[in-house]
Amino acid sequence: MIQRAKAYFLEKGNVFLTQKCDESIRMAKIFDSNTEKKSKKINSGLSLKKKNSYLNKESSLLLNRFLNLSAITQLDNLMDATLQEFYTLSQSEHAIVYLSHGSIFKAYNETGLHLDDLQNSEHLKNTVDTDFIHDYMQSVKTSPEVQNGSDLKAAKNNSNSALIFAIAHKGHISGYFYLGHNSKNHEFDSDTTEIFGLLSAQVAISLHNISMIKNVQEKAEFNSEWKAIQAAQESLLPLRNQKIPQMAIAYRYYSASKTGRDWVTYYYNSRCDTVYLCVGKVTRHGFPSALITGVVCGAVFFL
Amino acid sequence: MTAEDHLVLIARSTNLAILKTSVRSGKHVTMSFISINTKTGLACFINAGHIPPLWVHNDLKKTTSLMRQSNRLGYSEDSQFNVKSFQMLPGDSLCVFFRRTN
Repeated sequence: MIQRAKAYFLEKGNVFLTQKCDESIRMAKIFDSNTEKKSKKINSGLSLKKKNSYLNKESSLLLNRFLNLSAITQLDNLMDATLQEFYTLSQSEHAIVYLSHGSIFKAYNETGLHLDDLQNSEHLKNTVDTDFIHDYMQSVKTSPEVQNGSDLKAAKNNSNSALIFAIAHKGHISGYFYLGHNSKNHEFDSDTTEIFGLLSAQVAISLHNISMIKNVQEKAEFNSEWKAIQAAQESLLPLRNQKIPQMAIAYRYYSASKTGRDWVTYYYNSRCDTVYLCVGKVTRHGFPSALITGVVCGAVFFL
Repeated sequence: MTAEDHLVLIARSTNLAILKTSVRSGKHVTMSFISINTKTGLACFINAGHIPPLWVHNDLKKTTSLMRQSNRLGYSEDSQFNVKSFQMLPGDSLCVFFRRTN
């Protein structure tokens, strides 16, 4: 189905969606290979019917997780849902998501901990392997995978009780997920770790989409504000088809930028049979110039 | 008050209003002020640094550029605004522009 969608978008020339289809196909292939590995594991001791039902169930659950994450368009909801997924899948005791704030990464959300606790360094040292987090973040910064835009591997600490992986898309790191367990005997198995890698790639794409949606919304708001300014400026122009004895007046007004810096008006004083005409231009473009046209209009009309 | 005096008054007052605003914005305004008596055809104009208006003579089949220049509005409180008068005839036109286009 994705192959057909890709062919359609390719035909329509939509490069962005074609790339998205490529990413989905790549993920599906990795997912398939994981499923094969799992099927080998459960081959012993289960009937064929049971094996198929087990795999189908697991596949549909994972697919649902992918779809759910893709559909979320709010940052808070995405982080809540993702943390919950990781927390449940890994059976860890606590999970933290770090998101980028400029050049640094700050704890954005957590499960099994309180963000306030993260400020308390003593408590933090006892619960979270901060050195491990710091080392991983430093190693990722300079890793060739980031430069190439390829997938980043998850890392486990020495005792295998903590796991960290980057939220990365095309070499851009949006944040990190940290999963920890207080028991030193807890281990994150490699299959689950691989699935986390896939899910975090999906989260990175969703984060990218959220920022794009936000940009589009901001642009729409910005455009509507400009439209309001344009409407206010047009209201300063004289009404067309005013009847003046012995005379016809016409004007054409085209703004070179979003807001004009030019202004025209005329006024007929019937007591002295005189028409007053003013045509002006404010130096330089931009919003301040548009405001000056309002000042000029007020000054002339006052007289 | 004559039409010429009235035109100078409008130009001066607009100049002062822009001066007060341009202290913050640093902007000037170029403007043409024109008055035309619709009964007699007597017209006068002040051109405060704007593109000169064109006076199109209907009978002579020619145009005259109204060149008399004064300072831009918002340039100085002491700006003098020179008024030029001219007699328009029936069928004549005045063309005033915002800016030159290529």
